Amino acid sequence: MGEVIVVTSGKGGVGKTTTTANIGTGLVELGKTVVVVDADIGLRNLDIVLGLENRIVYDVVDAATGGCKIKRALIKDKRYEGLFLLPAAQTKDKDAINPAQMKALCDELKKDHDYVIIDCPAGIEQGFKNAIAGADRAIIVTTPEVSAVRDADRIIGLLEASEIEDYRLVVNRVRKDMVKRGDMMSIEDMTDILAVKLLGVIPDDENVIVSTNRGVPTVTNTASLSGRAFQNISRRITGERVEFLDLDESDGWFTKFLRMFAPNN
Amino acid sequence: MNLERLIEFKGVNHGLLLQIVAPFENFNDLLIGIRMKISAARDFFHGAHIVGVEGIILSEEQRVALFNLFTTKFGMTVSTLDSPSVQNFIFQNQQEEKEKEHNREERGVIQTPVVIDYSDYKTKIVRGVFRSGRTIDYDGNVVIVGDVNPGAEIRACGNIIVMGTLRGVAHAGKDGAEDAFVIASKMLPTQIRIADVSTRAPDGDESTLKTEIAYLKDGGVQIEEL
Repeated sequence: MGEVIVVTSGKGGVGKTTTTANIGTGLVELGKTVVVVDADIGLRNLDIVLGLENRIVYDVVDAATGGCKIKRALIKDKRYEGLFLLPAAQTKDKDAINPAQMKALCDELKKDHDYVIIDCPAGIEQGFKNAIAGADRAIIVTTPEVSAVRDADRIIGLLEASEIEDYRLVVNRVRKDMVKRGDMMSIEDMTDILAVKLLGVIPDDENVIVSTNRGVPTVTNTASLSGRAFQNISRRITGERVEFLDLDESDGWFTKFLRMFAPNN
Repeated sequence: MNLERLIEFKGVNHGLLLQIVAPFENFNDLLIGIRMKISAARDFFHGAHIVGVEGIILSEEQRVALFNLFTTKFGMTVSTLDSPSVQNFIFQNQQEEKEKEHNREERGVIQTPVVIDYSDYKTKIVRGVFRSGRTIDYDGNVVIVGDVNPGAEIRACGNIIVMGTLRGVAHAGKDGAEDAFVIASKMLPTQIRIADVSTRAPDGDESTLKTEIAYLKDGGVQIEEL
């Protein structure tokens, strides 16, 4: 029996879809079978980020309402063995399914796959309620900004009220230089206010934008810091203990060399 | 006719509401319909709590029959068989009586600011992080053991004590008590309100903050170290 994990945030644009695509692919690279489900009905994006938009025939609304057999709606990714996508519908909206249908769908999917990862839409309305209906665990994605943290706090409150008690935080788009200058919230500030365990930290990385446009998740690129961060998150999800990356590695060797002489630089 | 269709059970705040949704010829049919419906999902209804009956005016005998059906036959509990509108009416009546009592006490007083001694009043203690969007509205004192995050609101008729960081909104003495206070281990609220006065805490260095108390003095909110 697999696990259903919902990736949510409250705030839009913080990296839920990117995170879903990357940890889904990351887990498959560790040998797991994964279905990633796009629950953002009406505004689907997960298919684009995975480069699978040309293969969509059926979608999550068809599968959840019995319009087609669930297996027919799953798109098998030919590049990564074990990765399946259940895309959202683009021509309907979030009232097209209800939480009970979503839960039934998740219960069915977790029978045949190790992980079912749900890409939750932004907000706290019907779309959110649908997305969390079948979830066992939650990953909350946020950026180090006051507004994102405020929304994440609200979301955690709603998750607790729905009795999802296993939730962890991913902080996305961290810029270490800004944190050092005091222009950006530090990880400690955030975990302090949110009172939540940290799952991973992803540095701000141009490679992510390139990869989402190309439809190739950055987790497969071990040369990029963001790719390695996503790999570590995938490993932590399976229960492995992994050290957090030293984000200073984004500096070149010369800068690191200089730092030996001026350690406070 | 399918007797089960005469009734429906609706889940409400404190339990189940029995709703009579179709006309019936005799009361016995209704009892049979209820029995059928509950028997079909016996496990679900066991230990369930009936908090009202809607759509019918019950005679004394009918009440007894219904009560026995729920409790003796099916092991459920019943708090009332009154309809929600009757319950509401009774509640409103009680509230009005309370108001009249309260006003009666005050009528003898001329032009004194509202000062109610809440030190002996009831206190609610809440543990854990009070997250954004959560609110509490209490007729007494409130103690939060944990942080209060921005976007959360604490409203109390009495005093408010936050054993943690207060970053949200705290409104003490909300029904006019001008001697109410707010205490926090770290006072960083978006707004403090005491009785009718509201203000925000001054910006300061967060790391040096000690426990502080906010109270009304000369019509303004004063904040100082405790």
